[in-house]
Amino acid sequence: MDINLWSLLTLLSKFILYLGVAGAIGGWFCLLLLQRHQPYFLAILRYLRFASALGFFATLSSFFIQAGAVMDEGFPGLLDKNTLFILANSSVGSATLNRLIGFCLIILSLCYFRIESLKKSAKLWIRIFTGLGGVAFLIFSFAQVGHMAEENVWAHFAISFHVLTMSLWMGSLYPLWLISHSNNVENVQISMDKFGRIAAVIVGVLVLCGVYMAYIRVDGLNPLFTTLYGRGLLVKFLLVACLLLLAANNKWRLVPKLNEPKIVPGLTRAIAMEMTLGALIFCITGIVTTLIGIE
Amino acid sequence: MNTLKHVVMFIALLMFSVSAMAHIQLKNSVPTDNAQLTQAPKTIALNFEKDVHLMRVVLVDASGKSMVLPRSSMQMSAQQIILLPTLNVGVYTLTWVSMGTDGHNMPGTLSFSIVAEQTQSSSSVSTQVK
Repeated sequence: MDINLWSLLTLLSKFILYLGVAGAIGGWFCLLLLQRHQPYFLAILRYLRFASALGFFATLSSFFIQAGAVMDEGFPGLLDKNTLFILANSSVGSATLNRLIGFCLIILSLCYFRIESLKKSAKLWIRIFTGLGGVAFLIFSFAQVGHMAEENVWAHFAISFHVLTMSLWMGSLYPLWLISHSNNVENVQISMDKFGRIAAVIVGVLVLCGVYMAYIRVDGLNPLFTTLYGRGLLVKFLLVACLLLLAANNKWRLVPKLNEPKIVPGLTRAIAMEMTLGALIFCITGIVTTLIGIE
Repeated sequence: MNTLKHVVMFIALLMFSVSAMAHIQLKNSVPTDNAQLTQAPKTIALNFEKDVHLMRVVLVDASGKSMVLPRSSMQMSAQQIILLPTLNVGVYTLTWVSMGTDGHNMPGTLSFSIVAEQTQSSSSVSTQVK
């Protein structure tokens, strides 16, 4: 494991990028899912804008940080013309461009536009297609770089849907945490229940994609215990298992009893714990793919 | 029961296996690592397993003086040729950073020495005597 300033900066930008992607995709999904919670609409919108802007700047900085890491010549290395030229014309450049377009489209889908000739429903569809386009650009960018980039087209779909489902899940936690403070418990219960039903599909796709990606890269159980990379993955699996347990507890134990006293604060605490675990998983994923790498 | 056990083991294997699929490695080079040369090479050829971009190449001499070498090509290729300046007798270490389609930077090193022709022949004679 080679830890230096560049690897730490790469790790930080990757972590912020994961947060940005999850927030942009999950936040956008929650704008549609949580429409009945009008008092929280603006807060969710702010969260979505902030996450998209964060992701945009993390994408841009990670491009320059990679140039700096290659040159290893301090600040001037970040702007080395030849290195930037090679990076721009490589898979890194394509992924960076697609992510920037993705975040821009998501931000654009939130902008208020005044075109008198367009009906309200037409404006809504424009918003939806622009947003979906942004999400597509974001998730497919993850198939262009990383270990799956060299695999077949199914592996590209697997990593893209893995990113999509993880983002839908993790990015929805903050809006769900927000609405859990609402006094309208009945509305909270309906939304949580709706999310729980969709989350069951999300987790199913997430596991399927994970199993498929593991299948095409399978090389036995031993490296899991004998290599640093394997141990890093074990920690990640453990955290994901805890997250699944918490989610199951929310869906089957807390949400059905939301009308009872003291259950709502318990749900708020459980969602906060899920967010903490999610951030830890992003951190471990960054460490495993940046600092350790496959041995 | 046995079938169930096999299914569980299979799923566990799929879920918890770790790839040993390493990043793109160097297949061979001309000159080879630790080669002793009687003539200063004008180029170094690095042959990788797959196409790579050569991002940065640095040559370090025995005194620790380093020199960034220009990239001969900005294209992706499995074979990368590095043009060398005129080199004197001594030990040299070439370090590079390559990048494959996965976008990961992979560092690598190669050492070689240039010896005077007499030293080379006398050392081979002494080896034969032994």
